[in-house]
Amino acid sequence: MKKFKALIIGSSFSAIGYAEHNKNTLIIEASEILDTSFYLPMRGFEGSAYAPKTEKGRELMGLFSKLGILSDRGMNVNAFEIGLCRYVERNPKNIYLKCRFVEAERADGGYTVTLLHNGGLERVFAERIIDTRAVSFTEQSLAVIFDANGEESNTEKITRVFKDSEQKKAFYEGRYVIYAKTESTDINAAKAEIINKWKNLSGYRILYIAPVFYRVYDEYPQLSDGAFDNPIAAFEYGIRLAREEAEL
Amino acid sequence: MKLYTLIDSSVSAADAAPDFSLWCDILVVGAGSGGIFAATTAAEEGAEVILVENDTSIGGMRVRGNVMPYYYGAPGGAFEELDSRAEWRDMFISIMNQPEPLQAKYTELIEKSGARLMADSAPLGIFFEEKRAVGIKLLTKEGQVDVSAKIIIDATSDGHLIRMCGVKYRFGREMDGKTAPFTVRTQYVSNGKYVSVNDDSGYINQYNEEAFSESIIRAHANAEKFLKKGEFLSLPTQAGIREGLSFLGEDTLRYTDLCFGNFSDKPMFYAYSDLDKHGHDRALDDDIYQTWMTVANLATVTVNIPVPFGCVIPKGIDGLITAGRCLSIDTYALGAVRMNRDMHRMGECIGVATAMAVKGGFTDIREVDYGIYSEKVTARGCFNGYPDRTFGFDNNRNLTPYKPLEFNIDKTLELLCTETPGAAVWSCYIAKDKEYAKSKVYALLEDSEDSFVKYNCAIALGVMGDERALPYLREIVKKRDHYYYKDCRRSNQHRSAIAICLLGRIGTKDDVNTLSEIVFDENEINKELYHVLKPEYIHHIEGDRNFLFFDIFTHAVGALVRIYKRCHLSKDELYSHLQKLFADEATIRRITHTKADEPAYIEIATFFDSILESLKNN
Repeated sequence: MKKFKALIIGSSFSAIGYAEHNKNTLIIEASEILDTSFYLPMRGFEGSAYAPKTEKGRELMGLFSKLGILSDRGMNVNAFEIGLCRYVERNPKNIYLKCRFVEAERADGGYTVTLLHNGGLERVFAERIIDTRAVSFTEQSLAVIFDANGEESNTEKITRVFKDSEQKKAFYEGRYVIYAKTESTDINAAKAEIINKWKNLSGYRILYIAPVFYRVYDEYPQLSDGAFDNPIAAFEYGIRLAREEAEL
Repeated sequence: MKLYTLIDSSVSAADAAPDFSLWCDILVVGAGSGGIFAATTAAEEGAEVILVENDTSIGGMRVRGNVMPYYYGAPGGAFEELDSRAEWRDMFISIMNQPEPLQAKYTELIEKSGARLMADSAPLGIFFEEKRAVGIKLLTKEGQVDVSAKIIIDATSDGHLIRMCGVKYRFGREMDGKTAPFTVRTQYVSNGKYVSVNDDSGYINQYNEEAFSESIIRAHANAEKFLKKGEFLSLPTQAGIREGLSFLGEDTLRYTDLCFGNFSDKPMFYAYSDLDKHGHDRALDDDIYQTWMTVANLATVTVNIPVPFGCVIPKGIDGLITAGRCLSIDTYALGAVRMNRDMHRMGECIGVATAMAVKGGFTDIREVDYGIYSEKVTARGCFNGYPDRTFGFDNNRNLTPYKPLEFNIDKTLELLCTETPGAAVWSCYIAKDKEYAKSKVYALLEDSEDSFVKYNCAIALGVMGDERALPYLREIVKKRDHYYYKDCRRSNQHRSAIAICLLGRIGTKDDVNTLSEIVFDENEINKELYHVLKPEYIHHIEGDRNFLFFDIFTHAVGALVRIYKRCHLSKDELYSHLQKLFADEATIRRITHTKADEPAYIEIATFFDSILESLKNN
């Protein structure tokens, strides 16, 4: 049975930062995407600037800058996954994609955890489990990136159709994102709902609808990135948390 | 009753007392190209259906994998109506390439059909009573749930349920276990146009967690190359895996059946495509496949393929079938049977068959009344999209008329005088009376004064094992002939590659020097053959390697190995020379300048490993 100091449920920048300091960490992620907090829900185009304080934070920032993902124009959230994967490829971690947590039983010094992944069920031992999955949210929306046909997007036109929905610029010229509120909490039905409403926005063309909801929580679980609007800040938080735990 | 699970990649069967809280007639696991249509059709035909999906999003390869455009597959069936999406055309930058509208249509279809969708749910195990599958244990957001079903359909594409029940299976090519490369279909906007592009990302093993995760992360990292091409939009949330396991079924579809026309007379449905191959290491393919693809240059010949019911039924198991690209089929035939249109149609046919089975009170879909079944699926349009076709050239991209092909030495001999001799070469290969065929071809060779015709005849003789071909084949190779044939709309074969391939089969130790020059001489790459790419070549050239050199080089290596084995030359000596050659980075650098973690480099390195392994083993 493989043994880990920590098992993190849910991949994120801070999870990867944590694993950067605590090498004997396993990160499991149910999807096939590493950046589930910024890229998947398409949030963070207007994140705040951040100056990294660690060597690895500077390395990650340098990589994102070199790839043009972070620049004076803002944050190209669409490309975060590429940058994060390139970083992890150079700094390998124990990561299981398309892997679910099934159950955990207390064992001597930690937990025996049952995982479900491509190989079937696997049991691993972890001294500690960090679950980044939040349970109840206070707000939910679905990001829609659209092209305003060369115009400045008309906020009034948008919010008439998608009430209480926030709109922002989305990195590229003429591109916007709206975080549309939907009736449905099922992602498939929510997308259908948005598409059906979109006919009232003639001239604006959908480029992409995020594959997961953007959810806001009162309280964010540890290492979930939700509390951060800059990915490097989230990453360094993970490093700091792992360091603090190691010092205890 | 037992619960079958896969623990640490081994099958475990434990006594079980399920607590069924959900019941249905048909349980479909996997809401992708095949599963959605299997579920909704069965529901439309009157069955109680539950459709389970691991992800929160439905849609499978077309939606989550972004593989929107079709490559072959036949028309006909329920998917056609969903494909139009015309009413939303102005709302999207590219209605036919963006997956979201299709996903919305799938959602509506599922709702309308009455099938119950359980997303974000994964199968943990299967309940069996003796050899009969009776339900599954699901992991859902709310916890573990036991679901009872009369028929379970594994539409996971990778046979995840099949693996749980201990059915025998194999994975990949005979020689090295490698499957077709996977793709990461990436989207960006360039000059206002929506671009959705296949990024073939190398080999993947979706049954090994570490290997799988590593492949995905590397592929996503390598998407970096698209950042400068335009306004980056997205990566897929599902890897574009083309091939999974092939299980032992009640029937197995082999590509030799396709190539030799050994077809089932009571098929479940017809698939339609060419033998789509994405890897470039043709030298590692087996003889018959290599003859079809390389020697006879028939890579883009489409085949209308009857797929038997037994291909979706695991041997000796009742109540569990598959829908999708996980079939009882060999790796080469799968290349022709996995197209999205055909997956939709297969799903629809399976939906009809399973609903009929449930109504009839049985679970083996082979027991359906075939007359009624074929009437139903024909009426739906999903049975046989091209009833008048068997083999032919279908250049659907350029919309040129379909050209049927026949394989009969008497009818195709004249093609040996043309730039498209492929059908004649294959006719010779499969001729029942080889002596007759050889005599006809040799007579043509002798009668002709045209070296072009002589070369074609030599290839036809060579494919039949006739050593009279040797002088001509040697001439082609020695002069590094850079003529390529014109049979196909793309991926036409160089005459040099064909000749080298055949030297491997009938050559002697006298051919070792010529082949060794190609393989070992560091100046070989400078020869004209590898740098002349005529515009009309229409070859699918990768930007990441000198494909021409890779093709010739690998065939030459393959030919050397064959000759050494057949002529009882020192395999140890060849092994030692090749090992030294392959270990030298300069060898790979003659072919590609990509980095060690990129698909081209990996494919070349894998070829080297496979060749050395083959020399070591036999």
